[in-house]
Amino acid sequence: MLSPMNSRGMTEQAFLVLTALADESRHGYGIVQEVERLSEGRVQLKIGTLYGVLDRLAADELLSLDREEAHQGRLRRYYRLTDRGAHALEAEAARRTETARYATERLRARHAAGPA
Amino acid sequence: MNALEHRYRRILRLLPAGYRAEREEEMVSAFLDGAGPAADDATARPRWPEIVSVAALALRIRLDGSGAWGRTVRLTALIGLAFQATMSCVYLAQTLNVHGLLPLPFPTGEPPIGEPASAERLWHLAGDLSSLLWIVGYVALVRARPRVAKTAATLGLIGYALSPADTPESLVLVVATLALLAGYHRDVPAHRQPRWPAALPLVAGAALFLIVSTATWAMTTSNHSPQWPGPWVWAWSWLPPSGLFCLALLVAGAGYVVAHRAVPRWRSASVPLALAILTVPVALARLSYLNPGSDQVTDTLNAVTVAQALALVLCGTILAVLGARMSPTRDAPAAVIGAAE
Repeated sequence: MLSPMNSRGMTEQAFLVLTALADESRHGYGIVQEVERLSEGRVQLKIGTLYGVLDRLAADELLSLDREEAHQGRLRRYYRLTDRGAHALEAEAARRTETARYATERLRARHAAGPA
Repeated sequence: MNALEHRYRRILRLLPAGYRAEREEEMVSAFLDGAGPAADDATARPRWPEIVSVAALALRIRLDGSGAWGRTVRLTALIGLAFQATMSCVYLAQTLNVHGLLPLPFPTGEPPIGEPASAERLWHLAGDLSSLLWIVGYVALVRARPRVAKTAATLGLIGYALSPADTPESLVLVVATLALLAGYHRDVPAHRQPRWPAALPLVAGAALFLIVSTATWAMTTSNHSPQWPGPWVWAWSWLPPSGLFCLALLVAGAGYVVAHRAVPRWRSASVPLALAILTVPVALARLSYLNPGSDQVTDTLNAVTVAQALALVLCGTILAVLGARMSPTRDAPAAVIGAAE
């Protein structure tokens, strides 16, 4: 499968899923909830979409299976970030921070120049 | 198992069996976690966005980069666009010729519509030049720029829909564009072809333009003959785009069957299946030419058209059987998390 870190950069969904797994391993619906919280409700992953993202991230070895648990008689699989995933997330976060810094600087310059 | 769980499991049947065997339980668990207290409601049903997301996942898995169906769909798009790019070269050459920009000794095509520099003339010229979109689409696809190819093909199809062209002829364009949109998704690795296949439609289009133009000119000069149309009536049904595509598919299909029997390492699932898929819209386009008239010329035209459609059906059936025999028997391999461990 093609890397989510392609020439267009990491997708928003992949970035949020990796971020959701940065502090602890989570199961499928736990990731959905965390992504919704991180994005302040802006991104609500559907289950089919979530597993498509998980497939791509696993194929790139950015995350892996952590453990399986039974919850109310149902299977829950927990996923964790791999070292490679942590590096990819770190690089993407730095890239986004840099872009945001450029935006902030240019807006500051625009405000300093006064109304057009 | 409650009613909602049962319904979720039915939706998950959209997924390939191999993938479902690995993922069904945890996906059902995630669905039911998301449903909350509604999970125990006997009338609760999966929401449409969830169903669509599973259907999209199923399509993506089936058309992944390595699966036979994925390669088949992408090859269908490539062949369809290659043919349309070839025809577009013919149309562009005809446009250049009717505007006196080609040094041919005889006229081809209809004279320009509308007064020079009028809005009507420009509108028709823009329509003629929209053929360029298919050439752009094909070259972009060969050069591993599928997003450009998708945009160009979609615009080309819209342009075709807006023009007063024959609708059945556009069936093959619809099939090729749908295959392009479905087959080249983000999980498919970009595969840049050498430069020379990008030039094939130009070469084929130039040759085809000369053949079609010469045949048309020869027919026009002989239409005052007492024997008119004579043997030309057997050629007419091969000259429209679907007639030419029919001929190309029959030749390619026969070539593949020979290669399949003679050279085992050339056997493939995707090549015969892609050719078989394309025989369907082309056969339908050919059948749209059937005419209810009852004179001898019309009867001959109809007979040739029916023979073309039957040949396409036969060719498509043989190719589909050969392709199905070469297809892997199990489902597309599931990219399961466990496999990444």
